[in-house]
Amino acid sequence: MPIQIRNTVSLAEVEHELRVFEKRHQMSSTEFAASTNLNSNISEDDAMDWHFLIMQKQSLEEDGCVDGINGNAEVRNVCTFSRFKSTVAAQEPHIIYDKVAA
Amino acid sequence: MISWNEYCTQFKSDYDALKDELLEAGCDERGPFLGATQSPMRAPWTMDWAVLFNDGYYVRVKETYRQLPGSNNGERHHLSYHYGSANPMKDARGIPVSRGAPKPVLRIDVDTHFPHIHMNGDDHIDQARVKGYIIKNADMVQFLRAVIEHRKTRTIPLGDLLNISVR
Repeated sequence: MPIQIRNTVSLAEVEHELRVFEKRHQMSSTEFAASTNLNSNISEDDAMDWHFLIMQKQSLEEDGCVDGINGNAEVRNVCTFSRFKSTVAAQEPHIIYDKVAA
Repeated sequence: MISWNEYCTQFKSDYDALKDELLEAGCDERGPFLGATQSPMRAPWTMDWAVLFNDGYYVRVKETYRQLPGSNNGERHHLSYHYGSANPMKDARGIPVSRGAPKPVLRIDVDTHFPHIHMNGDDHIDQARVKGYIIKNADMVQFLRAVIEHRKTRTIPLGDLLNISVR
């Protein structure tokens, strides 16, 4: 199976993933945060996945990212996806780039 | 500290070096799945890769990298390297779920808890009880090479191949 790369494009996407994740486990973020202890019913893998989504959400919030457009003009100018696609992706055709375009 | 592109390049190199021996005939590979954050790709990012062997065992390696303040680069934050019997219950990507799964042969965790391992039916063994191995410095390639060797020999315990002893 080729290496599959997925790029989260927006805060809204991460928030949606968090909602789906928490709905699947029938727990809120508050409950998740309180339950990541050794005696919890949450598996260590699930706790790790949830924690990653929270990190991603916080990072996007700090950037002011909305709908795939980064609020930081400097970042936006330097790192457009088309530029990335024309360099890295073109050099690595064995990799599937998923959800990369905003 | 590492950039996303450096991580991808290193991962691809590691993957290419391991795949021929790790991907046994009849195995079912899930991933590798790499996921980054936009701008266009930066930390935090995640990696998840599982190989299900046709004897009911599987290996899964999983890492997350957190963003460093004021930088797009990342540092390893959490990891889980798991080898053992596969739970028949799978997630949407076909990876065995760990909840309710048989106890692993060996699982190395640096996660929301303290660094620990699961081995020989014993859970959450912390660093103070482990000799010969630094849990927080666990290396994916070393772990997967040990799994390959363990499956070839069928006799040398996986922990021994990683020089892990528990007191």
